[in-house]
Amino acid sequence: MKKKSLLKKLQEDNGHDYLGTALVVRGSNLENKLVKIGETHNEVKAELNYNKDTFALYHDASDISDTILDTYQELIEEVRSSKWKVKKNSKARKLLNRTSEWFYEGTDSEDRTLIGGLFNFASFAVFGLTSLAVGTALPLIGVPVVAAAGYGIFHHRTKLKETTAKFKGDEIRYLKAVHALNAYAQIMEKEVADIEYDDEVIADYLVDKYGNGGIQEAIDKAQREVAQVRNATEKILTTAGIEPWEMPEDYVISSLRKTSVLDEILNPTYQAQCVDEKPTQEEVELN
Amino acid sequence: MGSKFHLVMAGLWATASIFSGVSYGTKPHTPELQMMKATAEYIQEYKGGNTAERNPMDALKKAQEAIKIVGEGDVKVEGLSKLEKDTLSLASSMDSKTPPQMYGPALKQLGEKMEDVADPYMRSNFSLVNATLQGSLALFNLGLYIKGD
Repeated sequence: MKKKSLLKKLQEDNGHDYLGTALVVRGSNLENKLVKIGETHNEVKAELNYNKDTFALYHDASDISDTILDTYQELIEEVRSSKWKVKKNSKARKLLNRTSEWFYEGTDSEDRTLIGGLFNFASFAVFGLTSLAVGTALPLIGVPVVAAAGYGIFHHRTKLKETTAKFKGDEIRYLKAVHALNAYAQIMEKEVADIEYDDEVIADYLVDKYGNGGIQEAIDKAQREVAQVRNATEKILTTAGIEPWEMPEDYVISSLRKTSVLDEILNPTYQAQCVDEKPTQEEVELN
Repeated sequence: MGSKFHLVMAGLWATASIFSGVSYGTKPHTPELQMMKATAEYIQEYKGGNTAERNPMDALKKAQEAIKIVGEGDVKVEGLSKLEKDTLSLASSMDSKTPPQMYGPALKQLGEKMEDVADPYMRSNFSLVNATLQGSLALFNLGLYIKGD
């Protein structure tokens, strides 16, 4: 029998080789995309959930590779715990920008003097009348306060700052983790689509434990959670302009692969039917 | 000593006065900008005519020169490149057959735009008057506090 690579076997047992897949970044400047990546990350972060109980059924049925499950969980943790700080202009700054821009752009110098005069007069009138109404001079405190505020509202030209995104760590490593998680989520979608069994005793045990409805419910829940993770990571990848990993059409799920490996040992002709689970190598265009 | 109200008022008026003073004092108000503003006022007054100084092209050249000088100055003025484009576009539309007074409105509009660009960098007398009045009110309140009214 022909000798084979142990490393290749490990990769095949894991169902994929995502790290060997180069990331393709559409468009040229990743630096310019960081703000949007950070915003998307913060937007979808809550959807990156891993609930151990969701996959208990698959675990009981030995239907899913522990390696896949553990790596999937680790990747969710890694992506979820990534901290993106997106700094935007506050509402107050936006408002002050609008008022001061209008003051300088939308008016001429005569208008500005008139507006300034009316602003001060209105504040005198309002606080003066209030002061007369309540019979105390205390409301007059508002006059200089409003006059000082007028500087910020109109005279000081408040500029809007650029939205910035800060990421603690290496952005490429983060994107690789998102890419890998997306690949795993796709694999998980296949893995959790059904429970494969070859022993009636195990099947009966599962039906007894979870009930007919319980099994369907557990499968539906797992599918929902995994699809949610795939969609969330896909959003981040799309924002970054990265091609998601493409699931091979002839992917063999881990529970069936165990049998296949056995078949391979028993039947040398299996080699010819063996599917290539490695994703296609893609061109690297990272900047 | 007077009531704390006067002291608070003195402090607040002083703060308002400082803000107004900052608003006045921090504007670059360079001679180049003053010249651009004066040119803007001049071309807004353009009524047309046949003498050399009343030639619309001549008025436009003055505007272009003022914009160029401001552009070469130390202060980075926003909107200057758009003004330059506007002057070039107006220059390309001018010809000797059209009566000069026909360019009056276009030059007036250009002058207003020049003024709008220059104004945010110019000191406003309103801010100075404000700062003075507010400072006086601060001193007045401080006086009342010290006097003990």
